[in-house]
Formats: sequence, structure tokens, C-alpha cells
Amino acid sequence: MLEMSRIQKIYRTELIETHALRDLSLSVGDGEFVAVTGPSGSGKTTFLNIAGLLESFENGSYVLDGRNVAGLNDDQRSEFRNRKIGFIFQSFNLIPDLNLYDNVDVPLRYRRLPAAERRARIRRALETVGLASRMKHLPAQLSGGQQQRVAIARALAGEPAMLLADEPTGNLDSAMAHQVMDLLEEIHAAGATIVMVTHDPDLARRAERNIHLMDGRVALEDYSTGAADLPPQPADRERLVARA
Amino acid sequence: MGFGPMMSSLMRNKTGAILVALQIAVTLAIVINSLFIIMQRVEKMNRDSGIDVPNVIITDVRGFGDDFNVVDSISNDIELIKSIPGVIAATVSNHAPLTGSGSGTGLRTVADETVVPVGTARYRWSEEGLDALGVELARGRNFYPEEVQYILPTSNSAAPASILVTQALADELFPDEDALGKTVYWGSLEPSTIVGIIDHMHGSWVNWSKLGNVVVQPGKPAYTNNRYIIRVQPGMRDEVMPLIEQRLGESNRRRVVKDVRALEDIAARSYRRDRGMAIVLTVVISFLIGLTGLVIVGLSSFHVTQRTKQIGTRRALGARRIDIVRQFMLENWLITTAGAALGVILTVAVAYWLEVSFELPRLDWRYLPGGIVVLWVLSSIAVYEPARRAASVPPAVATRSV
Amino acid sequence: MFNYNVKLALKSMRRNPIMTALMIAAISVGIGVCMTTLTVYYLMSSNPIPHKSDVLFAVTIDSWNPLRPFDDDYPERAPHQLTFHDAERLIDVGKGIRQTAMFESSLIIEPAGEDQLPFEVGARVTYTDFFPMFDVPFLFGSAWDRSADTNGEPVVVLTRELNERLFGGADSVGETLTMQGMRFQVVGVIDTWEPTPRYYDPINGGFQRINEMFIPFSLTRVLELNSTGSDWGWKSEDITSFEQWLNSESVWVQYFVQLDSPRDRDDYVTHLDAYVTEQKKLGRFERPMNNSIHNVTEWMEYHEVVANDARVLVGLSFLFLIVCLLSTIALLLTKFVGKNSETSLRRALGASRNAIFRQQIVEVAVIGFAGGLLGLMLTLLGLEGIEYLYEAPPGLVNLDWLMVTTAIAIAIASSMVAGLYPAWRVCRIPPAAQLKTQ
Repeated sequence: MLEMSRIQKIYRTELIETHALRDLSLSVGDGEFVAVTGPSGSGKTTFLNIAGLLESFENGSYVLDGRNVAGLNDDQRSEFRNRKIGFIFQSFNLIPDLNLYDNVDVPLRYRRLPAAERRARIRRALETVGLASRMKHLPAQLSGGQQQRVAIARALAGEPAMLLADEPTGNLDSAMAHQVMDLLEEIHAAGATIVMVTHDPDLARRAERNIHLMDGRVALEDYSTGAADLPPQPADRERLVARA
Repeated sequence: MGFGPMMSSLMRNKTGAILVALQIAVTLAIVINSLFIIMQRVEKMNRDSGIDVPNVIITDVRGFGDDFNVVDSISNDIELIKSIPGVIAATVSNHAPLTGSGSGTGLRTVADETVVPVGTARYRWSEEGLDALGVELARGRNFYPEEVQYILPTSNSAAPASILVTQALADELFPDEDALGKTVYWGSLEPSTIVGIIDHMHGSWVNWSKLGNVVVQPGKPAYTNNRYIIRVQPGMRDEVMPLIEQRLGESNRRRVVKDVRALEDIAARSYRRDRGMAIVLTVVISFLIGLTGLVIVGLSSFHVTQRTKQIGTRRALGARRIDIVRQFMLENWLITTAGAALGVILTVAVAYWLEVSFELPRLDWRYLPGGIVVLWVLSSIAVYEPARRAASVPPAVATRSV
Repeated sequence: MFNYNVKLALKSMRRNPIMTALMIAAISVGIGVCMTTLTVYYLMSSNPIPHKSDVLFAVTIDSWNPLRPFDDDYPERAPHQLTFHDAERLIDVGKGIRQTAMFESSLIIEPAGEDQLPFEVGARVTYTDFFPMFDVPFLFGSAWDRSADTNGEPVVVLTRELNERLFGGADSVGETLTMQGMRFQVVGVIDTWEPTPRYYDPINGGFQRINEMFIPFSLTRVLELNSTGSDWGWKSEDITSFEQWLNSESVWVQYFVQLDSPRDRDDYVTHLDAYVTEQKKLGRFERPMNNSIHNVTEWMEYHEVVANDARVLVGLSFLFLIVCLLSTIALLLTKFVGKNSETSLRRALGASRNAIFRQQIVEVAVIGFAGGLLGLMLTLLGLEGIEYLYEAPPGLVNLDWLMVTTAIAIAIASSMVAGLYPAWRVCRIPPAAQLKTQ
């Protein structure tokens, strides 16, 4: 499904170059549920942006769903993103003045689907997440967990090749977080490929496979145990101290 | 709060700042040039006409039918009008001043056709004419009653022996001498003697540069249309007007009373283009100032909302309310001033265009600082409320995560 | 997609009602002011008879003072009116072509019964060719016979308005009315006809109402009609009779001819020259030969029918529109800042730059349309105001469809122009997964 090899990403400002990804290679198979973990600064976000075709990269190759995306221009990337990827964000990112129906409708609108098909897909997606009865509500009328479920419905409605989740429970309390994770597992069980970026070892453990990033490279891949078993790296600890 | 951080926040929204500065520049150009035009029109309308305009009534009548005797009609009408209480004086005249319609002629100081004559408005009225308009005679004398004859359209009217001229016409005819008692020549080269000098009086065409040039011949024009100039006691005009219409109408059915109007209204109509222009421009610049003010309010309010967190942080770091207000005011002042600087160039360019293309007078430079001050005041008022709102952002905002 | 974009635009406008209101206000005020001045200018400068403006000509010949030109500011110009006797003779010179000499006068309509009051009406004293030349529409009857042009027959053509007043709007052809002690027969009533500008007589005012009735030029002698319009004289002459007045050098008669081909024009000017040469032999026309014909547009320019004030106002109000556009751009930019997060979300969900750009442009167009509509209403108000301020005859200042479409088009086009840069800025916002919330 996803095949990255020797990807480099360098952020340049006038003063410094930051190597966000140095030589990242990883792959995700069809129907897999993979968690990408790592401390802050390890390149998680950059990986997510590149995997989701939000950003370009310098070297290396990236094949998504059988297509090399390295050479795509902005419009082609937009279209590919729209068809192949379903995003689930940490802060839900629903549009506050659109109701649930219209929120789920957003990615479909950019695909120029016939109205009837859009209607059917939205209804189906909202039914999957159990919120079909509230499609006329505004996001603000929902709890955080419900909002994230709407976001998942939005991601599903596009029938993407892969779901990309970025700390999907980061803004939720533990009860709601469980519900959302249960939902993701259900979806996975139904055959979806899911790549989830998280720093939370408990969440990571619920994936089939963990990929641990460190300094822009894959540090460790692990099928059985979570990343929590890894000792915190010294550099990471320093950063934590500085942030506090 | 120094210039440093402020400039940096200005630079971050560079395009916005440039747009507002541009807007202020164009606003300045319009406001100053319009104000200049408005002031000129207002000055023009407020010129002293030398005439007791509010108390003068102009009446037009016209007789018809073969048995109509115009001389009898005029003499009866004048008598009738003067019998109405409140009427001070009345005369028949060829034309009335400030109406836009009149008669013009040229006068020379020598009897030589090749000399370019001095253009002037020409009136013909009786010995009561001066009184009927409330015009002051500066020197010399008025017409004697015996000099005043009925003038029929068919009577060959020789040049009168005595005429009156305004001081303005006298000065143009005889720049270095006293015109009183001097002889002037009509187009026919017939002579007349200046027996009196009118202090100041406007003629017929308010847009003519020589509006103050007036010559008066003695006489009672008895043409098809008869025009009466009537002056009443202050405050009596609106009472007397309907009486004139009614009594003249009743007195002779072989005659149409065409019009009884206040000279004030006629003069206002003559100035309607100037008044219209002044009003239209006033409306335009009011809209403009209102719009520019509101846009500044809108933009600064939005920026305050955008920068809530930043303002809170500054407050947390010890900035006083007054510092925040000052920051916003100063930022705005800088933009306004930059815009005004550009605006001065634009204003001069527009003024040049108006001067060259439309022969408008040159812009008085004193309008420039005036306009800039207006804009400073306007933009300060506009930004004050948003700035005050910014200053009321609590310092605790800084620690609140969003 | 368009409908979707319109829906999004409305949502977005509602999100920031004050900003939206300001933008609509800016555009509508700009349009209101611009369209008001532009309409006035357009009315003043419009060609009132486009299909004939280059075949109708005003005739001027230079009979003025040998010592000085008619107009010191334009010494090359001949007087713009003719003497009465020249006009009369030119009718013979131009025999066979459509032509008319004319002037304004006024007559008193005497009442039939004692209970009615006599009243004065303005008349155009002219030839029967006036009506076909200037495309005057008839409601009843027709122009008078050509014989009336020579015989001084008391016939009259009324305007619809005067017919309304005298005969209650009925077909009055054949009725009579008494003027100056003479019984006139009504031969025609014209339909509403208000050429704006009144191109056939800019001398007595391009924006006056037309005269209330028309009578044959040949009645001038019979009724001793005086001109109530302008007259100019340069020569002092002894005038003790009406006939002497008609033979004087005063110029007070206007003259128009219709010449359909360039050849006709050349021929006509040659005839004019021949006439003047003949007159020169009699000691008249002492100035250099200066005969010319001026088509309708030239004639209106000649008389500066478009007031300078109208041009100044158009210039200033377009500057005003620029201010409104700058305001709109600044407001849009500021407003779109608040859209950054939504835009990057939409981009993440697969919207292309194009799609985002189109969405913004639709929003601006909706604002422009609203501004345009409101601007039109302001224009109507503005024109009302102008009509009142300048004491224009009611109905003279009007919006036609051309101007309405122009207004909406200017509003939408200018708001699009204003929206281009902000929309471009918005669509450059990169897609992002981690959206910052405000």
C-alpha cells in the first residue's frame, strides 16, 4: 500500500537547515494497522505530511497504492489525496458553521460525485460511526468523541485507500479515546489500511505493528510489543526538560 | 514600547498596511480637491450682489389683443403695485439682474469702431430702479424723472444723455481717472454721459467674469413682455407676492400675469449648478470620510482579535493599558502619515489635471496641511475604540492555551 | 460546484457580518457615486439620434462684424445663428433638400370662454421638414402641408402635454384655438418626444423641455413674432419697424439641413459659398468666407453641452471607486486571514488550489452582486437628488437598461479585481494536518 524508500526532507530558513527526515524507508501493507511513534522532533509530523501528500520531499521515492507520487504537481497531489487518503486529525478539524452532513460532504464535493451518490455515501459513513441521526447538528453541539467520529466518517466517506490518523485521541478523555480506538479497530477489521501517528505507547500497542522514528529515521520496528518498552532517549529527555 | 516591535508587527501585515496607506492617499486627493472646489462655489454663491435680494420681487406680465395699450398698462400696473402696503419702490425694466437672461453691450471711451469695447450688462429702468433693487449710488445722481421715457419696440431709441455705471465698469473704462461726468460711446458711437456711479451691483449672468459690469439707461421699456422689479419692506415679501398676482390679474383681463417670483429664488436657480456641485461633492466626501473611517475601524478591530494572544503576552510582560493603546494609535498614525505623504503627490496631480483640463483655478496649497490634519484626526478617532478594546485584553490570556 | 461555492460564500459572509457589511457598503457606495455621475455624463453626452447624427447639420455662415470675430475665444467660428433674412434666403438656396430655419417664441392662448384665463405657451417657429428631419413621432394628424411654410397659414402642431391641457388628450386634429387674435387650426399632435440632449437647440439650453407647440416659420411676419431665445447683434442699426428688425444684422435664427451623402454636403457648402459671394457684392459679409456645416455630435461639442462639472465629477467619483476597491481588498485580505485554517483543511481533504481560488472568487462575486444591487438603489437615489438639485425637468434623468447592466457589471468586475489578489493569497495556503486554531 505504502512504500517509502530513502526519503529526505530538509527545512531551510535563512539561517539554518533542519533535516527533518534523513533517509526514511518504511512500508505498510494492504489492510495493515500501523502506528508510527517517536518523541517530538523525531520526524513524525513530517512523515505524516509526506505520507498524506501535504508536503513534497527531496530524495527517495514514495509509492502509494501502486503509484509513484514523487513527480506529481500540486493539482495531481490534491486529487490523489482526495481519492486515496482519509485524514483523521488530533483536533478533529470540523468546520464549525457546517452541520455534520455538510462536513462529511467536504471531500466528496471536490471529487465531483453525482449528488445521489454523495448523499448515499455520507449517510453510510455517518451510520458507520453511529451519528446518522444527528446529521443536521453543528459540531459544537457534539462531544469531543462524537466530533472525532464525525471526522472519521468524513475520512471514510471518500472510500480512501488508507486512513491517516494524527494523534486521533490526543484531545479526548480516556473514555472517549477508547470509543474512538474501538471504532478504528472495527474499521480496520473491515479491511481498511490505517496509519496512525502517536506518541502514546498505549495507543500504539493497539496497532498491529509499531514503527518507531528517531532523528528522521526508522529506529525500530516491532510487531509484538509497544514502543513504551523502549527507554527514553537522552536527547528527548532534554527537550522535555526545556519545555517544562 | 519602542518603534522596533511595532514596525515588525506592521511589516508582518505589509500588504494590509500598504492598502490602507493607499486608500488614505486617494482619500486625501479627493477630499482636498473637492473641498477646494466646494469652497470656491460657496464663495461664489456668497458674493455680495449689491442688491437687496431677499426683499425684491420680479413680476412678468404680457398683454394681448389689438386693443391692448402697453403704456397705459405699465403705468396702471406700477401705480397698483405701489398701492400695496409694504411696497417700497417699483419700476419696469428690460431685464432683472441675477436671472441669467439679460442684455449685453459694449462701451468705448473714444468714438472709434476699431477700439475694443468694454463688455457690460445693460439695463433700462426708471428713476425708481435703484430703490427697487436696493442698490446704493456711490457718487453723482440718479435719473431725473423727466429723463425717463417709455421706450416702444418700434421707437428708434437714441442713446440717452445720462447713464449710470457701476464702479467696476467705471474702473475698467477709466482705470486712472474718475469716470463721473465722463462721456462714453455705444456701438453706434453715440455718446452718453456718466451722471452717477453705482457702488456695486451684479448684472445678469452669474457665470460671467465681468458680472460687476453694469450700465443703466433711463427709460421704461414697453415691449411685448413687461418686467417689473419691486422692492418691499423686510419680511413682507411672501405676503405681498400673492397680492401682486391677484390684483394684477383682476385689474386687466387682456393681460397674462406670467410670473411673480422672489428674486432670491431666481438667483438661487442661476446658481443651481454651483450649489449642485457643492452639495454633490459634499455628499461624496462625507461618504468617503465615513467609509475610510469605518474601514479603519473594521481592520483594526480584526487585528485586535487576531493579536489577542500577543497583546495578552505583552500585558503579562508588564505593558500598561496605555502602552497598548499607544502602540495601536502609533501604528495607525504611521500608516496614515505614510498615506498622507503619498496623498500629497496624488492631490497635486489631481489638482493639476483639474487645472489643465477644466480650467479650474490652481489649488491653494494651504488646503494640503488642512487635509492631512483632517485625516489624522479621522484615523485617530477610528482606531481609538479598537485600541481601547485591545488594551482591555487581560494579561491572563497569555497563559491560556488555545 | 457553483452552487456549492455560493453556499459556502453565504456561510462565510455570515461568519463575519460586520466585515461583509463593510465590503458591501464599500462597493455599493462606490457604485452609487460612480453610476450617478456616469449616468449624468452619459445623458449629457449621449447621441440622441444615432442613426441620423451624421446626416443632420447645423449651418453657420459668417455675417459678423468685419472688425472682430463673433467669439473672441474661438476666432475661427462664425456666429452660431443666422440673420432672419439670410435664413429665409437659404431656404431657396437649399430647395429640394430637407431643411428648416427655426427659433423659439411664445404666444398667448386666448380662452374660448370668459371663465378661463389666458396663458402663455412656448412655441418653436419652424418648417414642416422639422418633423421628419428630427424623427418626431405623431400621436394624431401629421405635420402641416408644405404650402403653410410659404403662405403663413395659421396651423399648429401640439405636444401631447399641451393637447392634454387644451383638449383633454382627445384627437384634436381639426379643432381650433385662438392665439394673438388669430384662429389656429390643429393639424397634428406629437407623441412624447424628449430628445436628451435637446440637440437641435443647444444654444438655448441642451437640457430644456421641448417647446409646447410648433407653428410655421412663415407666421413670423404675420404675427410679428419675436424670438424668446438668444439673439446677438454687432451693428447699430435704426430699427423703427418689425420689417427693419427682420432685415437687421442681428443673428437669432437657427438653421438645420439633412444631407445624406458626402456629395450632397460638398454641393451644399458650394451653394452656401455662392450665396455669400453674392451677398458680398451687396456689401454684406465683410469677413473672410467662413461657411460650414456641423453634424449633431460636432454641434453639441461646439456648444459644450457636457458641462465641465459633469466630467470633473466622473473623474473624482472614479477615484472614489478606487478607494472603495482598496477598502474591499484590505477587508478581504484581513477576512481571509481568518480562513487560513479552514482553507488548509480543505486542501488536506483534497481541494486543489483552483477549487479554493474559485471558491474565493465566487464569494467575492456574491459580495460584488449584493454591492451592485445596493449600489443601483443608491444610484436611483443619487439621480433623484441630482434631478432635484439641478432642477432638471422630471423624467429627464433616468436609468436605462444599459446603465443598470453597466452598474452590475462594474460592481462584479471591480469586486473580482479586488478579490483576485486576496483569493490568490488564500489559495497559496499550504494544506496542513496540524491546524492551528485561533
